[in-house]
Amino acid sequence: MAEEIITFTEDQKTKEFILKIFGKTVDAEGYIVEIDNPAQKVLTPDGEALLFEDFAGVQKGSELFIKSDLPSIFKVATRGQ
Amino acid sequence: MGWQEFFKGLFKADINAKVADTVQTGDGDTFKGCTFVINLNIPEAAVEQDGKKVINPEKLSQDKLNMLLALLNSRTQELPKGETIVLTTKDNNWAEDIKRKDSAPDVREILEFYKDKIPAADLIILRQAMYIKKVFLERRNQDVRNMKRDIRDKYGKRGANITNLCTAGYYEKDFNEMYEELSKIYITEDKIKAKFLSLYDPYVDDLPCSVFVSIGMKEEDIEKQIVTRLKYGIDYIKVHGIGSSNVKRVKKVISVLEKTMSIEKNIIDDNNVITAELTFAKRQED
Repeated sequence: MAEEIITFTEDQKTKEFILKIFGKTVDAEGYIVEIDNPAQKVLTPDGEALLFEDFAGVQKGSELFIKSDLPSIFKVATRGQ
Repeated sequence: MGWQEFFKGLFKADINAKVADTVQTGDGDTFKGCTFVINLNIPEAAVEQDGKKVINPEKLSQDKLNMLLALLNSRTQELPKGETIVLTTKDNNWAEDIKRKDSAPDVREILEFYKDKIPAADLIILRQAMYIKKVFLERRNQDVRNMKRDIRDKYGKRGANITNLCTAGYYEKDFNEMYEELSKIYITEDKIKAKFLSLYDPYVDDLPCSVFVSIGMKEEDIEKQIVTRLKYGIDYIKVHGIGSSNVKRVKKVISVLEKTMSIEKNIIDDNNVITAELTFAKRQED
């Protein structure tokens, strides 16, 4: 991980703020979508549509959205090892 | 413009000095070794909580907000591929816990042992399963349940089986013993690995239907393992054993079971490596 760590709290308001920085919002079904194209769901590197409640963060990718599950967080934790 | 300028004046004087110190340890513009949290629910623009700097972007002046957004944007542009830009506090804590447990000597030793013996995909699952086992030992049962579900969702039945085998200690003991026993029978490393894989692979796939006889298992233990599976309606069971004494015990148990049950057998005893495929006829009471 980068030496400087920027985290955000898990509450809805803060998560929505973070998503907005990356040009994303949440659709009626609870999936993260592009603000300028709400029909386009954001995908994880595994090609899975990402629910707002499962959103863990963003990696440089160009944009890799991280799911809050063990395989994804394990990848974050052990990157480069 | 950099983080130093952004943080200037945000905190009370004493905290501001600490922040400045942290910034100074970097190149003045980066924020090395420092953590800060974005939280839109605190009443202040910036506060220190539990040693962490917490920022509420909604309470910042427009200038400071623009600065923060520009800094986050440049971080996004400048970080190497794969580096984390932002992460929830909860998931960051989770990642830190993973790093700590994953680097424990016992975990490293097991992963090192299996790294060229089992498929690479299994090793990835095993590494995560070792973490689950450590969490299990801390009695964090709900976390264990959630992570086991994650493994099954991502890696399917094989992933779930590897996790269960790992939690039950198979990678520390049984598979290790299996490899050691094969090392006594076969001479070349290639042959040992190939034979090991030929036993390990189907075992992981068929876990609920398999019984592996390890050193120290008595005949009644082997019988109990088989009978337990029958109790739950599993009527096809593969029993594996390595070494002459284990082979002898497996055969003895089968002959005991045959006295009370009808069993269709396919026994392969190759060089004191036994695989007994047993199909049990449905019992009257079933």
